[in-house]
Amino acid sequence: MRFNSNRRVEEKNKSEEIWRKLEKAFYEIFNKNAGELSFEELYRYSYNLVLSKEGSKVYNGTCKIIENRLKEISEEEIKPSFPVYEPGNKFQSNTEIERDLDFLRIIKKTWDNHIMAISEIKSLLMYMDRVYVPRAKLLPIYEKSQHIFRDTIVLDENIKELVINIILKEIERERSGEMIDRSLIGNVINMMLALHEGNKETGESLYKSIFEDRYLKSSRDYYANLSEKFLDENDASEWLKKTEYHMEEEKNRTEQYLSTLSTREILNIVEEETIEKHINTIIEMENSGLRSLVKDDRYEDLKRMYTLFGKVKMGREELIKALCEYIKELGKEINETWAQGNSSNDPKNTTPNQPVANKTLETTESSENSKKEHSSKQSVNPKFWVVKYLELKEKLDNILKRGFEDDKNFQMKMNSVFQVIINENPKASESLSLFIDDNLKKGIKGKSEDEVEELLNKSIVLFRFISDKDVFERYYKQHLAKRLLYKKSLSEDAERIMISRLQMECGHQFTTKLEGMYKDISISSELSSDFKTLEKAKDKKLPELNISVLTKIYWPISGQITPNLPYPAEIQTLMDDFSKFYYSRHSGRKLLWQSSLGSADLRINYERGSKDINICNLGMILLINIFNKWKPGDSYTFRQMQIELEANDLELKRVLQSLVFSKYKLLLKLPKSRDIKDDDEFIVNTKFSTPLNRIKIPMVVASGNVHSRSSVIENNEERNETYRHIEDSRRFQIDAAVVRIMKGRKKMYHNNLITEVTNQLSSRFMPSPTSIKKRIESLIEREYMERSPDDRKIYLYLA
Amino acid sequence: MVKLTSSDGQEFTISKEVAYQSVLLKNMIEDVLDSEENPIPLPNVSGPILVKVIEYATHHKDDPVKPPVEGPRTSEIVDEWDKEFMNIDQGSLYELILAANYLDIKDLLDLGCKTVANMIKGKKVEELRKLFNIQNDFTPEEEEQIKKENAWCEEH
Repeated sequence: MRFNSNRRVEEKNKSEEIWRKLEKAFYEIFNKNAGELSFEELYRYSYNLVLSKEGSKVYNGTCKIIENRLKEISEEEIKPSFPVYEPGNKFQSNTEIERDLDFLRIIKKTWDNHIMAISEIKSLLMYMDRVYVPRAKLLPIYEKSQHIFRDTIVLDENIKELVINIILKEIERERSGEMIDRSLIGNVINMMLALHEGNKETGESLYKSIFEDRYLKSSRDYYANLSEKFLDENDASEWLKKTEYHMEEEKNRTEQYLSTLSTREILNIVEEETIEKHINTIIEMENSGLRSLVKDDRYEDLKRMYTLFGKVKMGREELIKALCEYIKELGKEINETWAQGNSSNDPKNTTPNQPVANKTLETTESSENSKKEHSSKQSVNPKFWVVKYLELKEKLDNILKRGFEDDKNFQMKMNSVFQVIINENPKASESLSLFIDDNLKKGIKGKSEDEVEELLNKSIVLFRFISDKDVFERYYKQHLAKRLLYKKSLSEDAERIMISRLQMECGHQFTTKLEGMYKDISISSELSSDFKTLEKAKDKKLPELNISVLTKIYWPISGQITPNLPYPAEIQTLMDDFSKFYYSRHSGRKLLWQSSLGSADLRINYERGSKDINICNLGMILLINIFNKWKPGDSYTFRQMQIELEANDLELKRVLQSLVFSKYKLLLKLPKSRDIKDDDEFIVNTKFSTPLNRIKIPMVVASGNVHSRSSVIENNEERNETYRHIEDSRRFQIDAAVVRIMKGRKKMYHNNLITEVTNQLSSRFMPSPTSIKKRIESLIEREYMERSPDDRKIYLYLA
Repeated sequence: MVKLTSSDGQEFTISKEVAYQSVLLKNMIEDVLDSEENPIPLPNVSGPILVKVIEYATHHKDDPVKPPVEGPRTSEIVDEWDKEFMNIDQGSLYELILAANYLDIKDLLDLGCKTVANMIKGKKVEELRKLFNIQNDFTPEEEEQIKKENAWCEEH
């Protein structure tokens, strides 16, 4: 388009005039006098100005007006209301607080007015924004005005400092419990959120760039201070509750009048300052730390601790570590209490390496001297140990479930700690087996089947932790044998459940022998009843015979066969009959009589009536001899009896002890001393009486594996014996494992072989590398394998 | 309802829905609450043109919000009604476009511009000069030069 110059001047003047009208209108808008103005008219003015290429005039002019206006307000309203503080006064007086708030109110009012005016102006300049601004690559007038506001008011150094400080002071006031004007602060915060750094909408908000860091820093200082002070004065669980409360409070604060932009950060700060920096202090706090929470079963506090610690770095790890440490100590304590109780009446325990001279005699003596203590304490202790562990385990399971949300990591760590502490007790396997034995035995009062099963389930849990499963197996076999032979088992079901549990844990191999024992017993009872029917048919007046035929490899019976006893003729006939009967059924088998395991019922006719007596075989023979063969009233020395019966010294002594010293004194001894010497004399106690008709003569506790009837903890000698057996069987197992592996691989490095063997055997026991090495050497000697001539570290399998 | 006054004093009463097709009217109505009583003066638009605008806005008041057009825009007018609507003399066409621009009715502005574009399309320079009443102020040398520079354009 071309204009002549005259027209151009005319246009120019006209647009000047229009602009002045607009300018005037804008001032009116700022002074809230917009009511008189015609929107359409003003829009048309700006439209016409932009159409006639005067966009820059409108744009720049408007900016200038806005800037001038804000500067004016800043000088005339804001600056005069700067609060003045009296120096050195730490606490703010109410008037000072009021002055602070007034200042914030002015800022808020300025902002509100600005927004209101600028919205109207924006509408009027809509055409400019649409047409001129994009072409000139400027910011829309609204944003531009925000930047002007930002630079003129908010980023003014003095105003900025004051605004930030006042807000921080107000927050602090609220933290200390005072009521503050949340909406006022919220408004000022919103202003900072609406304003951005730089020239784009995407720039950081002023909230982020000028306020957040200051806010976070002051919060950090506050909480650092607070936790220092609090932890000095209060207990941990209280502190955790407080922390939870503070976190909730800070979260609310960000949601209600600050910005959720800071929620994560402020919570992090609270977590760091209140927990992370004090993890160990809190855990170890006396009377309220982790330990006392565990001790008093404060699951809720533990849960709180777990949850809160989970929020900070390494929190849970530290917690779990400390808890495991504590478990270890508790375990050690249990182990030690038990060991003390045990060593007090078994002094040899403390000096296991000291060569024990005259072992047998000492053992007998000690069992005599402290018989009461011995049987009570020693049979209580292993149970006590297991019970304590079950309690501990239950407590921890509760913590795991109710406090620690089934934390897998903790579960794992806890299990490994248990493994360590349980196996620290060398008698763990034995104790556990005894505990199970106790619960499976008849005559446990006040326990329902369910309870027993529950206890067995728990026992299995402990069993899992035991690393030398073969040791346990050995003890379990012994105890099971006793239960079966003496018919003490509470219920077959319970026994079978236990065996199937063990099978589940350790596989079939582990329980074959146990099952074999069971089979033997049930076959034996059939055999016995068959045999009895047969005998009855013969109609000889012989005593009844109950037989247990035991397969030797299944039963934990020491190899040596007790020498045959001089049984009375009737019994001898009966035994011979049975042998014939048995061989007729199973040819090719060999029967050996284990007289020491049996017992007999016999009747003694006293003057005042007869008594039925149950006693071991040797005792039975002795009594029959004393009462029937020998003259009553005569006295016999120990030596005489021994020669007469061809009995083992030790066995005979035990029988005599039980007859002389037990509750039922069938015999009297002269002199009355405890120990039995060769020429001590024994006579029948003719005046014996008891209200009971049936009595059972208990055997004195002493050496011998299955021989003693009550299951009690082994003494050292027995234990050594047991361990020798276990060592033997381990040797074979290691041999077998080595050969099995070498047969498969043909060629293997030493280290790999050791690892492989350890792996294979770990379900039963942990073989030590030295023991494996020894077995390898022995296998090389026996030419199962050889060292490679090229590399000494490689073994070769020899077919 | 909204009352409008054209530059020649005619008064129109339209529904808010129709008025809201114009961003300008929408802003005004929202900013000035008592618009029902006072007519909004539109001194930039004449009566006949305002009739056209209202006709257009009424027809399109129920249109769904159009998604922004992707890819190159064409000058083709899809809607038959729109084609018929634009069948007006050149003077009115220009006034209509100015009114659309002023009132900020984007669709109408687009429609007007498309119509003009279609008028230009496929015409020779001389035809265009005639159509839009433009004087040829180039010297023959200048004309030759321009033709040379734009030779690629003529080949089609």
